[in-house]
Amino acid sequence: MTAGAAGRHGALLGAAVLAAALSACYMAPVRIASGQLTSDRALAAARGPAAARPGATLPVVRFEPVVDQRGGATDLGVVAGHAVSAERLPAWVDEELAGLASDHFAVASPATPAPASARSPVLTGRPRILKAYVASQGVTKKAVVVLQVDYSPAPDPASASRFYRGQHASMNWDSADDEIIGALREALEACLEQVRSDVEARLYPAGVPAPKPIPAAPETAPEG
Amino acid sequence: MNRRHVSLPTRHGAAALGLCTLLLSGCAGATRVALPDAWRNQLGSVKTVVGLEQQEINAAVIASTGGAGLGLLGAIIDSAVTNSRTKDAEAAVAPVRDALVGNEPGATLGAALTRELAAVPWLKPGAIEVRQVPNVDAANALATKAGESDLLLLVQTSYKLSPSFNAIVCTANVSLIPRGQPANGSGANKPIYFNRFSSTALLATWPAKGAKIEEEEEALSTASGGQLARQLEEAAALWAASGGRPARQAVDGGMNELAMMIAFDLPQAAPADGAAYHPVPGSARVELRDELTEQRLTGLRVKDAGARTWVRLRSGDLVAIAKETP
Repeated sequence: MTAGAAGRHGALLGAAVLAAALSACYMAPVRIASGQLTSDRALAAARGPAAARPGATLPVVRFEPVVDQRGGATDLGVVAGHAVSAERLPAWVDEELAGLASDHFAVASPATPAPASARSPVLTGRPRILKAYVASQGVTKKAVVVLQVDYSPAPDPASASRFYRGQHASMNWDSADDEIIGALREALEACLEQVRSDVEARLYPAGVPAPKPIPAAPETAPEG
Repeated sequence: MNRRHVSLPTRHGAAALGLCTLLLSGCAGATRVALPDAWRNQLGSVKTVVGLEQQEINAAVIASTGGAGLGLLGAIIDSAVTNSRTKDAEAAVAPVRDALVGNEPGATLGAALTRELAAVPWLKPGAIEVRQVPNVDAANALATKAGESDLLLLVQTSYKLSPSFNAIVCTANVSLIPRGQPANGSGANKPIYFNRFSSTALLATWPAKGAKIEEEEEALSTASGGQLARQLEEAAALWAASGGRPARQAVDGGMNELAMMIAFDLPQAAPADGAAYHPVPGSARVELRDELTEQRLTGLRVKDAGARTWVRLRSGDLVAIAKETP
C-alpha cells in the first residue's frame, strides 16, 4: 500500500469514527403519536362490549373522563438524553379504563360505545392522572403512572379516594420508541391491575363469585 | 438475534464512558467559580429559575464494576447487575414516592430562595420560576433563550435516597449565566458563578442506632439480593411512616438548607491566586461520607447552624450534614 492510499484509508476511518461519534451524540426526540400507546384490549373494548366481554348482566362501573392534573403536559421526561413526549395521554388512560371490564363487571366510559354506557352504573369512578413520566438511570429505563380515582357507589354521593401507582423498570437497550411505549404500557397496566382488583372488592365485598362452569362438550363417537 | 441485544455496549457504552470522564475530570480540582468582585458591583437584572431534574424522588444505585477488566463480557455483566440493583431500588422506593405525592420540593426551594436571597442586596433575583429542567439540553435552551434579564441564576436541584436508603440527599448546582450563553459553557463562556451544594438527612432509626457505618456497609455488601431488597423495603417503610413525615421533613428541610447555603456562598469571594474559596481561619478538618456514592470525603468546617454543620470540600462544594454528637 502506498503512503497516499494509507492516508486515504486513515482519513476514511477517521471520518467513520467521527460520524459514529456524532450519531451517538445526537439525541433524537421520541414523539409518541396518538394511538400508539393503546393496547389490544382497549381496541377490543372500543369495538363494542360484545367484542370485549359478554357483560349483559354484569354490574356496570362508570369511569368519567380522566382529568390530567399535570396540566396537560405532553412532555414525559428524558430517557438517555432523548426527550420523550406523547399526545392525548388522558385519552389513552380513558381507552385503557374502558378495556378494564372483567368476568365480574362491565365498564361504561367516554371511550365505550352504547349499550354499556346507557345502563345505570352501580359505581362511578372519577380518575385523575397525578404522574406520568419516563426517565433513565444508568442502563435502566423507568416509566411511572400514578392515578387517583374517587369512587361513588350509585345511591351514595359520598366518595372514597384511592391512589394507584404503576411502575416499570428494565434495561434500556437503545431508547427506541417501542421500548418506551412498552415501558409506559407496563406502568399503566400495573395501575389498572390494582384498579380492577379494587373495583371487584368494592362490588363484591364478600369475594368475587366463582366463574360459572363451562358445560362439557357432547361426546362424539370415535371415528372409524 | 434481536439487534437490541448487541447495541448496548456501543452507543450507551460510549456515552457512559464520556460521562464518567467528564465527572472524573470535574472531581480532579476546584469546581467552584467565585463571582468576581467586578461583576458583583455591576450586576444587572437577574432571572432566577429553579430547575427540577426529576418528577419524583429517585433512589441512587452504586453501579457494578466487578466486571472491569473482562472486556465486553464484563461490561455486559456489570450492566445486568446495575440494572438489577436499579429495579430493586425502584420497587422499594414506591412507598416513599407515595408518601411524597403532592409534595413540591421545587416550590419549597423557590420560596426559600425568595426569602434567603433577599439578604443578598446586590443580587436582584426577581420572581423565581420553578420548572422541569431534566437535562443539559433543557438548561442550555433556557439559558440561551432571549429574555429581558441580563443574567440567569439557574438552580438545578435533585433529591435522592442513598443506595442503602439510610439518607435523603438534596443537591443543587447553581450557575449565574450572562444572557445568551449556554448553561454548560466553558472558557470565555463559562458561568460567572458556579457551585455545587448538598444537604444530607440521615434516617435516625436506620440502621439500628449504634451500628457503625462500616458494619452497615459490610452487612449490605454481603446481603443476598433478597435480603438487600427486604432491607430497602424496611428503610422505605420508616421514611413513609406517619404519612411520610420523615421523608417530607428531610426533603423540605434539605431544600430550605440548600437555599440558606446558596445565599451564604454567593457573596463568598475567592483569593486572587485562583483558589476556589477563602478558607476560614482555624476551621476544623471534618471527615464525612458522601451518602450517594458511599465515598469518604474530607473538608473544612465552615459554619455550625443549629444541629447542622456546613463543610467546604476541596473542590469548593458546600455540603451540609448532621452535627456530630459527642
